Formats: sequence, structure tokens, C-alpha cells
Amino acid sequence: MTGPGSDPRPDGQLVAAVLDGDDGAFAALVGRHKRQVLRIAARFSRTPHELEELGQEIFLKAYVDLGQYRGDAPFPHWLFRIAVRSCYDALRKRRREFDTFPLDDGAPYMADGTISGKEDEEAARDLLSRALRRLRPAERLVITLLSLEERTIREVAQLTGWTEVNVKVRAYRARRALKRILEETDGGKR
Amino acid sequence: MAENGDRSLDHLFAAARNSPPDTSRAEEGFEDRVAARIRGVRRGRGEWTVGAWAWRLSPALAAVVLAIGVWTATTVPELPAGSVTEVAASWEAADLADFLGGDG
Repeated sequence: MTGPGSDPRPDGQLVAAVLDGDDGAFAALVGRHKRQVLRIAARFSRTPHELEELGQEIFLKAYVDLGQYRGDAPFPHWLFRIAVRSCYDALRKRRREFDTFPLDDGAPYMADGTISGKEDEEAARDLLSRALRRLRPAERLVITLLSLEERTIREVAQLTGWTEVNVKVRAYRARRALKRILEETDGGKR
Repeated sequence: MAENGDRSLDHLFAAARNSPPDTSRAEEGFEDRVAARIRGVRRGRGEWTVGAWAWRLSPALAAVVLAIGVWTATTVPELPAGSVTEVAASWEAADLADFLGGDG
């Protein structure tokens, strides 16, 4: 079996090899794209265990559906679409847990809006992450893709299968809800 | 007020973008764990397939058993009560008479 990091074949050839029964080729695909997939999965995971589960789910689904990959779009796009939809499914499954998640510290970053230094950035990311957990799954997905992954409206529409208008509406609602959550937190601290 | 909120939110997003989640620990050996998971699912699916087929075939098997029962009940004539004993007894008597008479 060829090592996943060293296989020089392009994605299309690896996909064909997997469909011919070469599991080593799939390991090569996983090795090549795991960072991108795990990074998006990490945006929606609360623990390392959740990240592992979600990451594996995404690649398992990709493996099962690989026969449906037609090669008309680059393989990473196809895989990322599966990743986004799997993340959305995971969010919807645990939707009820969001309401009770506490937002305790982090308010100082809202007070003057200035964030400097690595520690501040990590604290800000943590605060945002906890605020995002209070959003509805669809709103959280849209705002994460737009504002953290820096995707365009059109890209988000393609990834989620929703219309562009729908994406815009959800993004607007997500921002409004986030501002309210953060302002409430900020107000409660003063 | 709303502008402040927007600005603060944009600052938070910018900070979060500058500090992306660290997935390095999850990446270690991830291919192997995915491969193991796929093998597990494949094995499970094989077992599931046998079970599923047995389950799917159960109505057909029940129908066959029922058909055999119906066929047996309708085609094999029912003997009147006691006739079997009478026939057996008469045969036994005839055989005994033949034997004693030296014809057996």
C-alpha cells in the first residue's frame, strides 16, 4: 500500500482506484484532504471526540457515495459539500443543547471592540464560538461559512443547496441574533 | 449603537479567522482510524445483509409452510374413525389363517 502522504496520483485517479477496490487510494485521499475537512468540522465540534466522530462520518459518507462523484467539479469541492451537509446534520441532531450553554467571560472584548495579541484572539474565538452555539443550526452554518470560512453567498448556496436569497436572509438573522446575544452578555457584565 | 454592535462582531470574526482551530492532534493517524471505521462498517453491513435477507424471506417461508398445510389438508382423504383398525385386524386374521393353513 502506498503511504497516504506520498501518493502522487491526482484526485481523479485516486477516486477511480478506490472504485476498483484499492482502499489504499482512499487513505491517500483522506491524508490529502483531512486538514480542510477537520478544520470545518472543528467549527461545529465542542470536544476532540466530537471532532473525531464528525470527521470520520464525513469521510465515511464520501467513501460510500464515491460512485456518485462525476468529476465535473474538483474533488475537494465535492468533499467539502459533503462536509458542510454532515456538519449541518450534526448541528440539527444536538440542537436542543444550545439554549443552555453559558456565556460567561469574554465580555471585555465586546466593550471597546479592540482585540490584540494571540491570547485575546483565542479568547475572542472562544467567545464567538459559544455565542454561535446559541444560534439556530441553519443560521450558524451560514454565518460560519460566510464570516469565518470567507465563502461567498453563491458558494454557500451551492454548498448547502439553499437559494442565494435564503442564504442572505439566514445570514442577516444570524448577525442580528449574534449581536443581541453578545450585547446581552456585555450588558450583564457591566 | 447598531454600528457598534456590527463593528464588535466584525472584530470578533476577524480575530477568530486569525486564530483558526488547531486540528493537528486530530490529524495524527486519522487515515488509519477512518480505514478501520470503513472496515468495521463493511463487516457490519455483511452481517446485516444476511440478517436482512433472512428477515425479508420470512413472509415467503411462512407462505410456503401455509401452502403445504393447505395442500395436505385438501388432497389427502380423511379416513373414517376406526377403519384403519378394522382393515389392519382383517388383514392380520387373513394372514394368520393362511399361515396356519400352510399357504404362508
